[in-house]
Formats: sequence, structure tokens, C-alpha cells
Amino acid sequence: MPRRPSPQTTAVLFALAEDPPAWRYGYDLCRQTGLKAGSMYPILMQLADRGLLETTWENDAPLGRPPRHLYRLTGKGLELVTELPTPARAAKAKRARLRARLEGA
Amino acid sequence: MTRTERKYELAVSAAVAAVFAAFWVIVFAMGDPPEFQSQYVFSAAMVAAVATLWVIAVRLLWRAWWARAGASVSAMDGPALLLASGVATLPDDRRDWGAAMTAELAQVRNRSSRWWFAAGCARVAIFPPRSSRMPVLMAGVVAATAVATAWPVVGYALPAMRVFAVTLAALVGAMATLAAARSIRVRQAMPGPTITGTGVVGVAACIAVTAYFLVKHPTAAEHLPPIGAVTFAVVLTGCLWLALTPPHGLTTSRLARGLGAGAALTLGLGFLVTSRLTINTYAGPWIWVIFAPIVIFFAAAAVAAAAGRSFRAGVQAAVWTALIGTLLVYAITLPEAMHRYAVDGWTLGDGELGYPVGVNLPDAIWVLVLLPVVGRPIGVLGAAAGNARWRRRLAP
Repeated sequence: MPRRPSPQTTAVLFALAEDPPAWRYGYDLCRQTGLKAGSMYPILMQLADRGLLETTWENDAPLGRPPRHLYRLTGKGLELVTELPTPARAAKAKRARLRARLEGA
Repeated sequence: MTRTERKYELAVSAAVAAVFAAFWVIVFAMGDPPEFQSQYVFSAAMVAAVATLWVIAVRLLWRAWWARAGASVSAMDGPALLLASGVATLPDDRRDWGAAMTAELAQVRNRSSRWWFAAGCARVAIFPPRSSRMPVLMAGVVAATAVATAWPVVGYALPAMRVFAVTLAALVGAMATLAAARSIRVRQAMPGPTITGTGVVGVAACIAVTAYFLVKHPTAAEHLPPIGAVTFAVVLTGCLWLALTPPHGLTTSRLARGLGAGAALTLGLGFLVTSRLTINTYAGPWIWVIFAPIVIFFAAAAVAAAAGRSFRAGVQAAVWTALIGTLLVYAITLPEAMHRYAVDGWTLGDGELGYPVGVNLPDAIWVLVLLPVVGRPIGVLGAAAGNARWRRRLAP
């Protein structure tokens, strides 16, 4: 059974799933998710290793600037996202579990 | 030469000189006070001579590196330099991620954000993630087990080698764990079967002859203090690292590997012949150890640089000569010391009478340290000479 992604990985997956066909930059993903580069890049590398992330290089980089690396989810990655509880759903489930525990107590 | 280049070069030279000065101070601070004041002056002169060689060699290496990378380095700010240093250590299969992080850093404008971004990425570059942590865990467990069992097992079989065995197990274990943690695949770049095979066999031979020497002459144990045992383990670990996973920059020239192996063989055979020729004389093969490397390292590196048409090929030849030659000379030293002691009762190195056979052990370890320390900078000088020669030929 595949391991459940960490909250940080889940945040990156949801950020990428917001607009699946769009290519995203690493730094923009950092700003959107609030993750530091030291957390973001290992996640991106592992998602790419597992075939969940498609990568490419920017074609039209301005002169004097290195081309940037771009990311978007693969079909397999999108499938995984649909199986994950959304942050809202996850919060709702957590509240329900807490309520059940309090009622049980 | 630009002002920046000169400034960096001066800083590098000062750092090298400081290392040697610190070494001289530590050696005298840790050892017994010398019998004569002149020994301070003599040792300082020897250390200064070797330090001068290293300063010249490091300046040559620095200039060669600067000629390739200086323009881009001088245009970098602190964060970019930090990230570039981290990215340079990435395994081959993660190089594209290094380029990706570098390109993203160019988009970060705020200075403190740049530092944070670069620091995070540099950490990722030094310890890239693995898809499975199992190999790292396995390597760590094996290393810890080896360290824990080395003390009782070696202590039972050969107590004199206990400190050495534990240090070697710890260093090799750390090296293996680090290698497992840093790459998603087992390291692919090796310096070729000749160097790898000879290096590994050489290290094993050095351990085997030391163990044999200590078994045959148990009193020699008192000549292997913890500092000597640790030094021996550190040098052998360094040799293993070079033989198994050298930096990519040292593995590009096949010619350098061949020339290095040939020069090392010459060094070893010459040592053996000198040792045999000096039996029953007041001399020993130390005369070979002191003077032969000047010619052999210089010539091997110069020929490699001239034939390979690159300074780097010459430097590589010097590194491989030092690796194999040092192991070979050490592996010959102890059996030869036993042989000479049985024939004329003198020490091997410089033919002295009245000392126990055990003193040959610290002498041999000293050679293990001295040969690469003296040989490598001479090799760099040779590489520079060879490189200059083929460039002169090319000039109209």
C-alpha cells in the first residue's frame, strides 16, 4: 500500500492541482504553500521520481538568465490528488473525530 | 590578473601556510620537548619547505580553476556562491535539480530571502532525498555494528590494532552511510578497474602486513600509540575513498591513470631495490623516499599533462601516483624491515643500530603520510610544466 503523503507534500500536490495544465515554478510554489526551498525541492524531486510530477525547462528564457525548471502533475499525480482528502475535508474529519472522542469521554 | 583574483589567491595561500604552521605547533605541543633547540629550527625549516611547495601548488591549482570558473564566480553574490558550492557536490543523477535551484535563485530579489532560499537549496544539494531510506538505514546499522564489534573482536585477536580497527570501522562506515544518503543509485563514477582494484588491494595489504608485523613482533605494539593508529586509519580511509568514489574531476583521463599506476610501480620497485642494496650499509631506503618522489611525481605529471594536453591530466597522474605508490611503499616497508632486522639488526629507513624492530612501524606510518604530502605538490608543478610545454609547441 503506498504511503500517505506528508502534509507538506499534500500542500504541494494541491497547489499543483489548482490548475493542472499550467506549468509552475519552484519559487512560486514556495510562496504559495509557505514552504521553504529546503522542504520544497526534496518534495518535488520525490514526486518526479515517483512519476507524479512532469518536469520541463523553460524555452524562452530572457538573455542572460538561466532557463527555469517547470513542474506540473502527471495523470498519475492528478489521480493521487483526487484520492486525498482536501484540506477542508480533512479539517472536517478531524473535527468529527474530536467530537466523537469528547462525546465518548 | 585582476584585483579580485589576486585577493583570493593571497587568501588561499595564507590558509595553506596557516595549516602548516598549525601542524608544526601541534606536533611540538603534543610531543616531548626536543633535546636541542636547533631541532625547532630544523623542523620549522622542513615544514616551511613543504609548505612553500604546497603554496605554489595551490596557487597553480587556483589559477587553473579561476581561468575556467573565475568569471562566473566573481559575478556571484554570497547566496549564489553558497548555492553553487552545494550544487557542485550533487551526484550526477541530480545535476538537473541543481540547475533548477540555481535558476530559481535568480528570481529571488530580497537579500535575506535569497540567503534563506540558497541555504535551503544548498542543504538539499548536499543531502538530496532518496526514494527509500532503507539503504541508508542498512549502511548505518552495518557501520554501527562494525564499530561496536571491532573493539572486542580485534581486541581479542590483536589488541595492538584495536584503536586502528575501531577508527577505520567508524570512518569507512560514515563514508558508506554518507554515500548511501547522497545518491539514489550506487555511485557510478569509478576511476577504472586498475586504480580501484589496486587501491582496495593496497589498503588490504597495508592492514595485513601491519597485523603480520605485530603478530611476529608483539613488542612493536608500544610503537603504535593511539595517535599513530588513528593517523593510519585516516590515511587508509582517504585512500579507499579515492579508490572507490573519487571526485568526478579526477576520473577524466585514462592516460593519467595509466601513467600514475606506472609511476607508482616505479616508486615501489625502486624502494624495494634500494632496500636490498643498502643492507649492511649505514644507509637505508629513506634516501629513495626523500629524493625519488621529486623526479617520479614530477615526470609522471609532466608527461600526462603534455601528452593529455591538459593541466588537469597532470594533476590526476600525481594523485594516482600518490595513492598507489604510497600504499605500495608501505606494504613493502614492514616485510623489508623484518628482513633487514633479521639480516643485520638495523632499522630499515636510515640504517640505525640498537633500536628494536618495532620502531619501523611508526617510521612506515610516517612515510604513508609524508609521500603524498610531498609528492602531490611536486606533481602539480610537473603538471604545470607539462602543460606549459605543449602550449609552447602550439604557439606559432
